[in-house]
Order: sequence, then structure tokens, then C-alpha cells
Amino acid sequence: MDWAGFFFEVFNGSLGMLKTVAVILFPLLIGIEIVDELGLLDKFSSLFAPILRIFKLPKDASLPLIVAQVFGITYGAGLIIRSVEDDKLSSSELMTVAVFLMVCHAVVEDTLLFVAIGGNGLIMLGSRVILAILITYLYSKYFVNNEKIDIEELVEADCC
Amino acid sequence: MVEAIKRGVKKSWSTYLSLMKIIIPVYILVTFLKYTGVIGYFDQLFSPMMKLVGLPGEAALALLTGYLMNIYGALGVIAGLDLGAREITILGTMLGLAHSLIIEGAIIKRIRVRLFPLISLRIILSLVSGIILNILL
Repeated sequence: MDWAGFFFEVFNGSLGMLKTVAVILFPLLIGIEIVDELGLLDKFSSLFAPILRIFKLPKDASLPLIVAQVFGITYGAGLIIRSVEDDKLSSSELMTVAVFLMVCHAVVEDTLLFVAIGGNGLIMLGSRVILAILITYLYSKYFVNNEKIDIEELVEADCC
Repeated sequence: MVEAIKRGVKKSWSTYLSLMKIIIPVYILVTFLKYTGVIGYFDQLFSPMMKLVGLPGEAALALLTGYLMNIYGALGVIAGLDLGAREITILGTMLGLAHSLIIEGAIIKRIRVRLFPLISLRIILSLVSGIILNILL
């Protein structure tokens, strides 16, 4: 085995990876903190409004969705649990959110990391977002019992 | 604002360290396997299957690492293999759709939804997107 070649490649490659990941991670995570500090996440969450309508989800689903895009699925799931405990999401709505999030979360970070090592960001990001919207649409249209949700909403409207 | 930047730097640094603890050892291991020729056997074994998604057999190692471990492990593997832009785009899409299936499965289970259909969905989407991109690109 060519030990000299091996050590040379490992040394150079490791330095390259150290640099590549740092260049993406630091600006991204610091930027996210600033966006969060300025309270822009709430504004961004209105971007999800048209998508939520397609999926027949209530407005309350937008914050977990946007947080999972920015901070990743662990934080997104934390917010979802709170939404459920506060009775803001029904169990069928919860499943719709989960379908979307399983396919599409932390898209910026994942995409940038692969762009840094030579991938095409537009294709990687585009196919993930389009597939997530398509699959969740099909799920909410054919697998969720919409009539039942309507009745639940009516009952709520009547009682309040 | 200064607090936010400080928080960002602190978070970035700890995330960076934990990622590097995965990426660098995986990268060194894969490079070692490449130099010893073990990757060659792996390549032959998975070559017929990986042809469907337009990737060399050795890329199965990146895919499996990403599915079972996480994206960062897969990055380490990819760095060790010699892949072109087309291959990395296909791998990136496939891994974006399905990764860390064990850990993210545990997280998604906490919100009390059915786990098995979701994980199957991710793997199917990942494989199908690879096949489609192989045709399109």
C-alpha cells in the first residue's frame, strides 16, 4: 500500500473538509440566530400560507414548518408537540405536517453542504421541495378524512 | 444583536466540532479502504444495483452511511470517493430525501405518528428520485 500517498491525501482532504464545512456552517448558523433575534421567523412563516391552504392545514402549523426548515427536525418536532398539547393541531393534521417534514426539513444546510463539494443546488433543493409539496398534497387529498375535520370545526364554531 | 451573533458563534462551533468528529474519521476510513482496495470489492458488489441511479457501486457506501447514520457521515464518504458533479447531485438529492432514518425516526415517533409508512415513503422517494435524475441529467 502507498502509505505516503494515503497520508498526503488524508491530510489535504481533511483540511479541505474542515474548511468547506466551516465556510457553510458558521455564516448559516450565525445568520439564523440574527434572523431569529430580529423576529423575522414569524414573517417568514406567512410564506407558508398558500402551501398550508393546499394541504388544508390551519395557520398554527406554519411555525413548526418554518422552524423545521431553519433549525432542523428536532426543533420542529418540539414545536409540533407543543402545538398538539395546546390542541392547535388535530391528529390527522399532525400526520400531514409529519409527512411534509419527513421529506423536507433543514433544506438550506443540507443543500449547501452538497453544493460545497460540487453538487447542483437548484436540482437538489428543487426536487426535494417539489416532491414534499406533491406528496403532502396527495396525502392530504386522498388519505385524510376531510369530512370529519369539517364536522370538528363546525362543532367548535358552534360551541364558542 | 451582539448577543445573537455570540450565540450563533457558540452554536456554530459546537455543531462544527460534533460534525467534524463524524466527517473526518469516516473520510480517513474510506480513504484507507480505497488505498487497500477494499472499496474495489464493494464497488463490484453494488455496481449492478447502483447503475439504476447512475452511480458507481462504491457510492452505495455513501448512501448506506447517509441512510443509517447521517448526512455528515455520507459527506465524509463522498469526500473519500472520486465522484463528479452529476454523481454528487444525484447522491445529494437522494440523501436529502432520506437520511438519519434511525435518529429522525426516533424524533418523529415522539410526535406520535405512524412511523413505518413515513420511513418507507422516504426510502422510496429517495430511490425513485435517483432513477429519475439518472434519466434526466
